[in-house]
Amino acid sequence: MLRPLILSLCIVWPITTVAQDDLWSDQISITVKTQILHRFDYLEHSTKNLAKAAAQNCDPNSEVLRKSLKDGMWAWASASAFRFGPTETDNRAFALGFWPDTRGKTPKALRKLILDRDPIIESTESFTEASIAARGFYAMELMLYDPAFRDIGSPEYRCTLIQRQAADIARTANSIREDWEHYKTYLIAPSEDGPYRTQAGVKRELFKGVTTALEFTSDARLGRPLGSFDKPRPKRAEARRSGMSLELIEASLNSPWDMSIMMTLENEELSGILQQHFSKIKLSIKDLDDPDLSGVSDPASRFRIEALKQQIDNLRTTLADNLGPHLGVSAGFNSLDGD
Amino acid sequence: MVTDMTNRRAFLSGMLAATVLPRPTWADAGAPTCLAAAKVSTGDYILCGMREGGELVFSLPLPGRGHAAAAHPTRPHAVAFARRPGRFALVIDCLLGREMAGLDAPDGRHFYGHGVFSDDGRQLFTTENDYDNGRGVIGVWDATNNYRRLGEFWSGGTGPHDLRLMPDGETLVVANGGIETHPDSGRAKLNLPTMQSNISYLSFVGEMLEQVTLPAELQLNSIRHLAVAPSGKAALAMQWQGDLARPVPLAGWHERGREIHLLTAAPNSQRQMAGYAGSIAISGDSKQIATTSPRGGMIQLFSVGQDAPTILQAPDVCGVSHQAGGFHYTTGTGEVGQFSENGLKPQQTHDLAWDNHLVRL
Repeated sequence: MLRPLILSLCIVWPITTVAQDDLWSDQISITVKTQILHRFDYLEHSTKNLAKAAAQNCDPNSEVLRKSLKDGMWAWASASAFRFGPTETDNRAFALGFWPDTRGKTPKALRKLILDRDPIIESTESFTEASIAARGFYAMELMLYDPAFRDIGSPEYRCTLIQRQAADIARTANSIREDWEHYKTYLIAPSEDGPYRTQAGVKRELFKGVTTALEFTSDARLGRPLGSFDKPRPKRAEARRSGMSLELIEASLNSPWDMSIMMTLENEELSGILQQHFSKIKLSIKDLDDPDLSGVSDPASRFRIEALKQQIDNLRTTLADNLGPHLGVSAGFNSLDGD
Repeated sequence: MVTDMTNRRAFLSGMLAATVLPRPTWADAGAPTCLAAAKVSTGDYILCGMREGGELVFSLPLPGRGHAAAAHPTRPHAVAFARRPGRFALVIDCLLGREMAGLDAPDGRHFYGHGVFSDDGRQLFTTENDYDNGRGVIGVWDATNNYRRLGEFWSGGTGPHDLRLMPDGETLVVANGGIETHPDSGRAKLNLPTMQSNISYLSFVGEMLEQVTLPAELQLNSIRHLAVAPSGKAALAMQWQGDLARPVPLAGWHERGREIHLLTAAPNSQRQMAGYAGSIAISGDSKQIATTSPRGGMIQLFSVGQDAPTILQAPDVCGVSHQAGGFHYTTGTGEVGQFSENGLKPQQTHDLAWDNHLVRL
């Protein structure tokens, strides 16, 4: 009796493994196409519009320009879980988003450019050599919204600077998207010579993308303005001048949400649990109604922002305890979070 | 009368001197050769002393997850640091198994998790974050006076993590990881685009004696851990903050007056480390350097004169040290053992998870 059972196990075992691998392979392919490429398509599209808007009208008050900057920031935050591969090449991610800026390097760099009438803004090409703190969405947000940059230097210089910032952002987004076209193959078909040797390596990268994005949203996007109860720091909120702080938090959950669901399709229970977590967080964000998170200074609204942070931290724990093992990439005591 | 009193005093103080007990040493605490923090199955944390064979000599409760410990050079005292951003450290009498003093980080400072004693055991140096100013400092504590804080000086950079005493007994070598963090933002890294790690050699009063950095293309590499050989050769372990698909070196060594020498393996092995070297050790003769990769589940053992390191597989390995009998390792699965270029020699498996570091006494 025993022998046939063992025999049948021997036959069945490799087949299920192969089937499982195929299933993952499909899921990874779908994730790459519908998630990664899609997000960077939109980033490329929205930043192209931003460059066009700036070229047409560089007035910081221009509604079209302001709206397209917000769209670009939203697209970038929405791709938060994909900060690897082409996104990181040549410091592109930093060139798009120099934040947090703990030492005020962005205002300093901008002021210096403007007051020195630095010729580095001559072309989009030359502007890529400018300080990374003067490039990207957050530097541009300062130029459009911060009163300190309204009257400083000459209007012509400021106008050109805004146009270069926008064109530079579009160029970086375009490079990221183009390179993903090639890089996607490494994820879909891992190989000995590529950055990922096995499917497990790919799954680990995707899982890490999700958890790192959530950690950043909790620690930096929420943690920095929250400060401590005695010393809240509303001015540290990301993109507060344009009132995008809360919206970017919401956007930063998009790719982790989609990817978590995508990777748990065949596990309805886990998928349901994660869906619930994300939906509740989204509801809490809607309820907050505090676009620039200035409510951190008011004890009544502060506790709701703290509660939102707690919800995200709970979600992170659930992901570490469930999604990691589900993907077969759960980490040991030391490999989980070293120091 | 006066003479009598004087004699009496002299007699009494002589009596006292004669009855003073010899001060306890590590031998009295069971002669451990190394210390390591661990998590036990109940979820509690402990600090353990071990012998070279992997036997536990003592295990003492810790109030939370520990990181590294600093061992007093002679007396059986260990300073256990909470994981960053901890604000306290405990001085534990390993003989009596009780807390004998506590170190509270001053306002605006937190510990990074490493510390080192001066050779005479009189001073303790700790790596700390002056977080509102984004600068690293070395705290100085008086071990002869209940660990009173004596002062602090600049660490030579941001995010100082490990520090060691150089063989001259008067120089500290500090790994400034370069990454700015603030307790308000948890473990978020706040300055990656501009981060700059370095190794700084400092006197006990904070004079900068020498500083070295990595080449520009490795700007995102954070030097975190150190091991120093009697020759003064300092081995360093790094954590890469950039794209993990790029196989960058995560280990190296440095000698005063020279550039940092980087150590690397084949690209695949290097990628398997997932940008993270957990701990590092150097042999007494400076000829071998071992670095651990908990994420890759392996040890890379570099030997002078060999192009490629020996790769040894050990799941969730992190703690490593070089002791009298050679290299030792610990894992998150509770294993303790020795290793050499000939392979791993597991010695014992304890029912606990060893934390990041194995500190040689």
